[in-house]
Amino acid sequence: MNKREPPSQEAFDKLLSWLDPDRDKAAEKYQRIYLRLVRIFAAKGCVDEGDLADQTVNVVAIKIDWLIENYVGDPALYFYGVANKIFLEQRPRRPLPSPPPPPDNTEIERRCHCLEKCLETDASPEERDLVIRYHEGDGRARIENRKRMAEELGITVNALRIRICHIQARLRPCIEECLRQLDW
Amino acid sequence: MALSNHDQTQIREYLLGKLNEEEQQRIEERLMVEDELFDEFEASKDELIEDYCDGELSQNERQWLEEHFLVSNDGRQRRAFALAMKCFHVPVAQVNEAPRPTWFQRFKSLFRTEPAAVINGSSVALVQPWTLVLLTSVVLVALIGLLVGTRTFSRGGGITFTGPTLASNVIKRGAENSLPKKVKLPRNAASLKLRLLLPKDATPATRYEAELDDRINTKQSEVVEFDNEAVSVVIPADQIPRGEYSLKLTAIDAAGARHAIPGEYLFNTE
Repeated sequence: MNKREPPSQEAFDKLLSWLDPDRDKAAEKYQRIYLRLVRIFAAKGCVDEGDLADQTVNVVAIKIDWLIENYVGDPALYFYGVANKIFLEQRPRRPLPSPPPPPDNTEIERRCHCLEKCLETDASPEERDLVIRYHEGDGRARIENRKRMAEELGITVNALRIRICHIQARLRPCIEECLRQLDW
Repeated sequence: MALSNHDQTQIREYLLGKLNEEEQQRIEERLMVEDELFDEFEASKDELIEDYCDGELSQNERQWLEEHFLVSNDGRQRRAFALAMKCFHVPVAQVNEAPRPTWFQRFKSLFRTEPAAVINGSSVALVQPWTLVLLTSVVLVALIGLLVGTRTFSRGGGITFTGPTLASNVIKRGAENSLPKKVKLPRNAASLKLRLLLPKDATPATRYEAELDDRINTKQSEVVEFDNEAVSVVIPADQIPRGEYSLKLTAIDAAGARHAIPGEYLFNTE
């Protein structure tokens, strides 16, 4: 069986049990590991980060019997070890990516429209105001603005940026979906 | 474990390809198991993209980001989000990821001693001393000409400010409740030029008419150019003091029949 083929249901179930005996906690841990693999592949410049994360999971699942018997340590690190090998293996084959095209006004306009829409549908009014205010101003003014916002909320600037980051993470898929609908 | 400033710096350096292989691997291992570091990683990416869009990264940093993180789906989505966010606050026409080098910067770069200097992606060959003298003279003459020209132009009543590209509220979301686009008119603007996107199924037209509505009166606006995608209009600044406006377009086909373009193009002047 090819290591990159999807695992059998049995192997995948064993993999989840290996992560945690509690099925819900196991699913949560699996999702966390999967997301981090995707993000690391993305940071390394992989165009097909989701596909590479899938391959990583497939390889780990194939070895699950051996892992249950022998592996000691955080499973997330084993996933990472496999991911790193897959990255190194595919790196020489990777074609030189083309730089992103310059922003096109029509495209920006469409994205702006989708952002407006998603801020209404996927964020509470408070979150909407928070995100919009957070991005106001430029340079020094923007830094001061963010300090002021953090003071008003009684949190640190770092806590504010993490909060904004979580809201934006929720908005991004909504924007992608909205753009797909506009394309239809 | 609480994060240190060193962690924040390292995450940024990691994203910009400034760590060696061993440091990279250590950071990646920590990202797999430390929630706080992963949150920092996510937030740093947003900030890095913000800096990229604001033109605040060095040429090497831009290039690294473009060849790595920005080719991924995650990178593309974050960049799109940052651009949309900028457009939320400033007119589209001003959204500019990589500010073009100023004339002074371009001129200065010609004096480099390297055999080839890369300016904004294109190469400039080694410049010999006699060419520097010649170039200096040309630039000085051009500057004087520019100054004279600008003064003459200013006396003529100010500039035409190019504002954002607008989509009609029908293209955007159906006729109701669309937010008007903000336009900050510079003080020296004599007129405002707006590009109005046409719907994909717009009737082919030989010309267009535009009507400006300030919610009390309507006035004709000058259509200065159009193509299959958009119509550009120019509105005298004195017709649009601070407030909300809408533009309506009418397409006139070869037979002279008039077809109203559905919806309105909303904007707010400041």
